[in-house]
Amino acid sequence: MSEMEFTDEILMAFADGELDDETMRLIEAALETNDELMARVALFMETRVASSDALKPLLDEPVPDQLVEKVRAMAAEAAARDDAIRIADPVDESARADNIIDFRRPEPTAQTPRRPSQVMMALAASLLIVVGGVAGYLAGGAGQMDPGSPQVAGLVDVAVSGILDQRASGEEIAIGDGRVRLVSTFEASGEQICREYEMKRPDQPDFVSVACRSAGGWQTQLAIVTAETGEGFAPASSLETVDAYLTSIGAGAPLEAEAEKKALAARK
Amino acid sequence: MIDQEIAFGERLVAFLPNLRRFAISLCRSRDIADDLVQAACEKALVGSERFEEGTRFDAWMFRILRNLWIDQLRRQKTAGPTEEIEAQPELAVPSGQAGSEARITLESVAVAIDDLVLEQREVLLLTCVEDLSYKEAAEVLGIPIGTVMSRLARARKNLAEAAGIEPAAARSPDMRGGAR
Repeated sequence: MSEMEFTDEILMAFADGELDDETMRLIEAALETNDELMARVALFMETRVASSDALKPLLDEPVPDQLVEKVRAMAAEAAARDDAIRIADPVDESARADNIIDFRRPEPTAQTPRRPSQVMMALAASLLIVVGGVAGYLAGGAGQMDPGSPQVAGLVDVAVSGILDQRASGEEIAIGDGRVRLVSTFEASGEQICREYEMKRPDQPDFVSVACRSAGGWQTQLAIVTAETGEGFAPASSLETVDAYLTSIGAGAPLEAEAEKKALAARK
Repeated sequence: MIDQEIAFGERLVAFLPNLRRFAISLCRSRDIADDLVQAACEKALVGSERFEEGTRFDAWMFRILRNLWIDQLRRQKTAGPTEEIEAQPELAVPSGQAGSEARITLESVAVAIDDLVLEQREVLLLTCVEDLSYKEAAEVLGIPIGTVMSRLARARKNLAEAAGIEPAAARSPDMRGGAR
């Protein structure tokens, strides 16, 4: 039998105890006669122990009192908020004794009034705004910039696409009468390349948009009007909505300059 | 509901040391970390009913905090955001008296962890330091398990190189000549 090849990932998973039994046995057998393999596994074992040991002292660092107090206060506030909401439906006072150990099973969701979280509300709002934002953009600005090109809903305008393909985040580029400011580049779900940018045009609401690159070009995923205009829809926290959206698609950290350059060049 | 809310708060407080450690290692500044921890707790309290009992509370909190940090990086992004925010990385090493050799090695490991790029650092922190499984880390980071594994393997090789971690059994790779 020829020597088996094991990738770093598999050997690491072995060291971390994350392998299925069969693969584990294969590696164990190979390790008996292969010192080089043993050394590779040992590297993963030792880096784990070393990382864990090296950061252990941070756990012993006292948490600043201020922080602890603040979190306690916020928790009390949250409890009081619920109290206020339930004023018409007073709870059993005995349940409020200082017995914090007593974890109750969560009530069935059907009976619990579900407060939608901020994130969900922001997301719901964003869905509304997307429609208005993109439609407005396609009907207005884009057509004027490039009257010849067909407007496919969701597909980013050709001129803007060119900018998204080439320019670095942090740059502000004039386009027609308006300006595009590139905010960031990141990977969604560890794969697709996406960019966030802001668009300013005279006489039209500003918007912030997220576009992701697919085989057919840059697709608008989200566009939200950001500035107060005469009759424009100006959500209170459009940027928070963008953040909520990006979280929902598993957006990674913004790429640094070099990585961004590489990522943009890679799949043109 | 109310006692649950209070219990939830106490649970948060009890978890603060871990959360803060993760934050410090993530953003490499104690000041930023404390703000981040506070913001994450606020978010958790608002969305406490979204936490499912029986799932890992730590993973849930790490996810909230990590997403807040990513948002912050993105907001401050002009060119090369990490350089800006992390211009003077504060080592995640508690300032202590100079100590034994073992102590010095641990410090060099902590320094090497700080030097990892964010995507490698976060995955290392979650798995090797906070003991999340690959799957749990993948959920926290919103990436496939395969990506967790490739990033983690790279992180550990970089770490070993930077901190001079050499497996005791290490031999030059060509010593055995491959075939047996």
